[in-house]
Amino acid sequence: MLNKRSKGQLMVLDVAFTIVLIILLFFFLFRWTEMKTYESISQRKQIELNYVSQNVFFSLTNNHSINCYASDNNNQFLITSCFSSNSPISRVNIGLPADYDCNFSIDGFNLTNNTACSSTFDSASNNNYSIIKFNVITTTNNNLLVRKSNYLNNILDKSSSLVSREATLVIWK
Amino acid sequence: MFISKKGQGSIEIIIGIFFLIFFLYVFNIIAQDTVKTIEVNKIKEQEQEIVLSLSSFLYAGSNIYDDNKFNILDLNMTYKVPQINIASSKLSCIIVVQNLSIIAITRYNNQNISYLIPTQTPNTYYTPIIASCGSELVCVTDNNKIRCE
Repeated sequence: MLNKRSKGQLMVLDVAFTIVLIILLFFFLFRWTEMKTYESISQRKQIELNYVSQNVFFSLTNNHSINCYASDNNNQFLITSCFSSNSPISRVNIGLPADYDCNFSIDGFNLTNNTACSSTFDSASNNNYSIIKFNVITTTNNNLLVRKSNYLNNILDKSSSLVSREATLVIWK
Repeated sequence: MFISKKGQGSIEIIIGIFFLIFFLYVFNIIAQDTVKTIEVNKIKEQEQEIVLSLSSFLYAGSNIYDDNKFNILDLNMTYKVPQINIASSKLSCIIVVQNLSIIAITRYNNQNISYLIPTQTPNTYYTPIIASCGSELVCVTDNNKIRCE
């Protein structure tokens, strides 16, 4: 049977263990919060990159200032994903934020008026980037106007001055 | 110095109470800071979603407006700015679209929590555009440009 002194020592030990456990729980709480915060910041960066990429892609391929248009006597129709060598690709045209960089290229085709999307991309030094590969059509005209008959020939796989090519869009922060 | 057993017991109880109060105080501060950190993150996430979706909306609108220029139609489009909610309450926030940026500012615990994206707003819009969370932003054509109110 324990005497009063031994009982007292055991109670002190209980209190000491409880304090140690509480301190450990504090540290666990700190770590958990830190981890959640880091995870949330990483997710936010990824979500932002996805949004910006989609927005730039949409603005690059559906834009009257950049893409070609076909005309007849009455109307003009936008041809999505169609580029001339002189298509003006600027930050404001494609909605690229100032803290982002991008590279847009079309295989076998030179874009002479691409001021916003011509940075050199290095995958080794960038972990967070988005690459979109898609098909485009190109015209050899210097302006964006394409004859409607020319566009219809392209759709119907007949001889046309419009050429289908593969384009690559890379966006990173 | 002689201290009776009764006196020693009282001192131990006082020290125990002191430690208990100290722990409760420290725990309370840490718990409050933890909740604050989590809530600020939640606010930032929601602000980001609002700012980025509004940016997409404005760019889509600008392209539709260009279509309208080609086909001579009127433009009328609406964007409902979402509310910013945290577990404890709904917060008031404001979105400001300027020429070179879109910013969301939320009032939380007497502080401003903001999220900014430095994107150039299409020049088809009159700027600044100011909207509060929960309100509807209506964009219409006005003198060859788009006005959002």
